[in-house]
Amino acid sequence: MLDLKNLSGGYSGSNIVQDVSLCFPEGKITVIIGQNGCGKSTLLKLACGQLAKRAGELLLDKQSLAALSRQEIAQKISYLPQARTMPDITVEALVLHGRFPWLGYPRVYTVKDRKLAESAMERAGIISHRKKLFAKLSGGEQQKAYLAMLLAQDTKTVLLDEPTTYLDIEHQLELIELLSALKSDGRAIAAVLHDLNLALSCADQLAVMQAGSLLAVGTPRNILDLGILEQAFGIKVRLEQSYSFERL
Amino acid sequence: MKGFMVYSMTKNKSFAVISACLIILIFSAFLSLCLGAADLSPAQIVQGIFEGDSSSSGRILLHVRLPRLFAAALSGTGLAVSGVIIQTVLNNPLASPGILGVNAGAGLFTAIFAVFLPYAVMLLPLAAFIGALATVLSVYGIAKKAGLSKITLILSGVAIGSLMTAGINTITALFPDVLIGMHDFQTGGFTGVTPQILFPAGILILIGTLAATLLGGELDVLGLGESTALSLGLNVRFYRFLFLMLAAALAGAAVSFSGLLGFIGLIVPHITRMLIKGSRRLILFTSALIGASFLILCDTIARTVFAPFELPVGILVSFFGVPFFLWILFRERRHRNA
Repeated sequence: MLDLKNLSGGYSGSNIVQDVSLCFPEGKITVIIGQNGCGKSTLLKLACGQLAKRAGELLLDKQSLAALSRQEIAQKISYLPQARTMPDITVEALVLHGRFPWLGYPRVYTVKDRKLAESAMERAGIISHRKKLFAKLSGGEQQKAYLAMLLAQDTKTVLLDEPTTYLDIEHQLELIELLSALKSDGRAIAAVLHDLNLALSCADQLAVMQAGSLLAVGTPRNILDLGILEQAFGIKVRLEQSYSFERL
Repeated sequence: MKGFMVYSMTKNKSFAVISACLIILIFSAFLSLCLGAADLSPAQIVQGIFEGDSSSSGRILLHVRLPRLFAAALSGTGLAVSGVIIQTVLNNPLASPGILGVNAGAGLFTAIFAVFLPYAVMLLPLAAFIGALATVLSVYGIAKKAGLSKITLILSGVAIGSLMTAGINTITALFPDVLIGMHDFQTGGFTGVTPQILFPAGILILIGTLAATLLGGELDVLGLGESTALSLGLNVRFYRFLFLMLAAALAGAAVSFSGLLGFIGLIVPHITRMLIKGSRRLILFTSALIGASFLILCDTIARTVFAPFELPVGILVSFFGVPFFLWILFRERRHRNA
């Protein structure tokens, strides 16, 4: 369980995130939503220590994150950044990099590392492309390859920044299924999502942000009932009967 | 089963490429020892090694051919490995020690050092390393301030590089005899190489290459970009600095005895990556082999085509390297479109 307490931070001087207290519990999917530039991505970066916090506390299972080394953090929290590079390597090599925090010198993979990478590729649905060059995959497949890398990292807490960009509807549903499976493993999942429909349908806990602060946290039902979305996005939300999609 | 076959095929391909590179390296080294103003037969070479200074072929071998061979091999290794590191760490396939002005920075410091401490030849590589490191750090710093896009990095490299070159030109204009032993310093070449200059620089290049290879895992992760590398637990700032230092040491050491050989550090990493896809360890090692063989061959041709006159190696590097590089570039493009 990752506990964010009165967290503030940002880039060069100004605080983009201000005094946010939020908890990512195990076995739950927390989805962070809010308008562009409200500090969702910054919050995730602060939560995993990519960005140094200016104030507040980060507690991982009641232990302060500040006491851990970068490698120890990487063994407990994995993070999918929004901006990703296109390395000139095979899918399998990329996924194996997920084992990096667990390797000692001189960074040689064991049989266990290879097995974990293999099952990660299987879970992410990318195993048939394992020998392909990453750069030659489609956008959706590249996304899956990065997700497989995260799975291979095998952490209790998983943070994802916009994991559904580049994905068409089928792959979006696949991703949500994958997140649910991770949740049943007993992992704590937190994701920034842009698509409100998707956020409402898969979140156990919805965190709504506005201008760097946390506006409200609750179940999607709660948030809808209290009219928080109207306030945060300046829109009117109506629940109507609509088409529902399921994977074949 | 199919997956396994593909797996062993890629393994075999890397193995085949590395074996081919090794054979080419041995062949070109042998050629370089045999050919020159006076050609030596293979028998004379073996004889020369045992007889040493007592025979004329032994003297040619020990005092002319072998230092040149090692100079070319070490310089090629240093520049190629430095190129792989710089391209990976800065995440920019257009970068190289030549383009970022690192070679020119090393050259300027070498020249300044040669003016003020002309007898401390052993310390030349150290001066070159300091110049290279100062250049790479200032280029990185400027580009970072200006937004660190791929283009700003190259532009600030080109800018700092021409500043350094202007410095070298000033020194050669004011102190024309200083680099007299290295009269092809600007184009790059091995005419003035002596074992005294070569030895410390060579040690630095060998240690740098070994260190880079040992840290291949970290270099791989750094190549995934800052965010991903951080999330995988790598201390990005520390390793980025360490690798830039290694790259500066390698390029600086090479420049201290071979002058401004620019193109090697750009093309060799590209050629290697077109031949094999794999871990950075494999790419570093193969680049070292290709860089060494390429410079040995260029040097051999430079010494022989107009013997007893010789061309600066840098000219040949451009004459052979550019068309070869363009050919590979277009071939790769065709493959991609096909």
